[in-house]
Amino acid sequence: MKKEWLDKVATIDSTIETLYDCLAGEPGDPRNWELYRFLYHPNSKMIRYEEDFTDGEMRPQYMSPYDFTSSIGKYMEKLKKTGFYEREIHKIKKVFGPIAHVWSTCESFGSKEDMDNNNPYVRNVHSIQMAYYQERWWIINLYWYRETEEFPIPNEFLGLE
Amino acid sequence: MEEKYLKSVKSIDSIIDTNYTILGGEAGEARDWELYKHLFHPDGRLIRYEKSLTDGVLRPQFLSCDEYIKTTGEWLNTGRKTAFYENEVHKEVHAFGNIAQVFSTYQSFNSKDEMDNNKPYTRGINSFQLLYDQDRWWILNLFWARETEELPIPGKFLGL
Repeated sequence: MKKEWLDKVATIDSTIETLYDCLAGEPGDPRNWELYRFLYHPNSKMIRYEEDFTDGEMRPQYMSPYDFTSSIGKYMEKLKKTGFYEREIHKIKKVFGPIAHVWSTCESFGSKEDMDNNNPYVRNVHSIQMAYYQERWWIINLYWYRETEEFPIPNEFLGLE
Repeated sequence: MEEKYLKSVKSIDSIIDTNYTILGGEAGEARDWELYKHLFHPDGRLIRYEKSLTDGVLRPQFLSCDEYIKTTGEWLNTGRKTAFYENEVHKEVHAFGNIAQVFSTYQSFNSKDEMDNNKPYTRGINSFQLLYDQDRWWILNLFWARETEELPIPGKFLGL
């Protein structure tokens, strides 16, 4: 195992920073999916509450990190016509010994320029359950919801209150 | 559907309260596991970060609701020698749109009397991930760790 990888899971902050960094890149840029999956516990799930790809219905959709990197991940890497960058706006951490959960608000950009100009195309809130085990942090569950017109992200989760 | 099923999942408070009250009962008293299962999404999981029942090693252990009922649930029904009651001391809720996470501090008691006198034999924290879908709340994940001597619950999670 690479020493640098262990540094990335040494703290809650570094793990989440790596989570966002791994997804970033220009169209066609290869991502480091090995590192991305390394952040997750082997039994972890990613749960998106969004429209289902098959029938457009809203429902929670469960994926393993491997499902994610080989579907959405591949799409971001090979097919997406724009870049993809994510930036965390605000984070609330609740930690009790070896367990934690984090409420992390982030914004997504189609290019580095959009990020520099603060022009996101979407924002999300991530609920991330984490465990400290074997001298490192693991993501246990990553669960997220996209901002909509009906549900704008409240100011308190944007760090404005 | 029975009223108690609808009532138990209509708010974040009610789903978490029901999670605690269902587990409560005297020794040998059968719990309402149908109602318990109703609280969880079909893909929902209970993740206990405690010593493994098989080898005593502390690690996160992933259970479906059915697996939990068959093991811990069955033990609560028939194996445990004392009563078991739980209540909530404090909770911190973050909710946005249809999703929520709750850091809920629980206390466990061996009798109703001990609960009335606030003498828990153990405490811990439950991290819930919740979803509002199809006009009701669901538990997606319930992840917990127990308080130990080396790891006392910080005052802020006791509402102090």
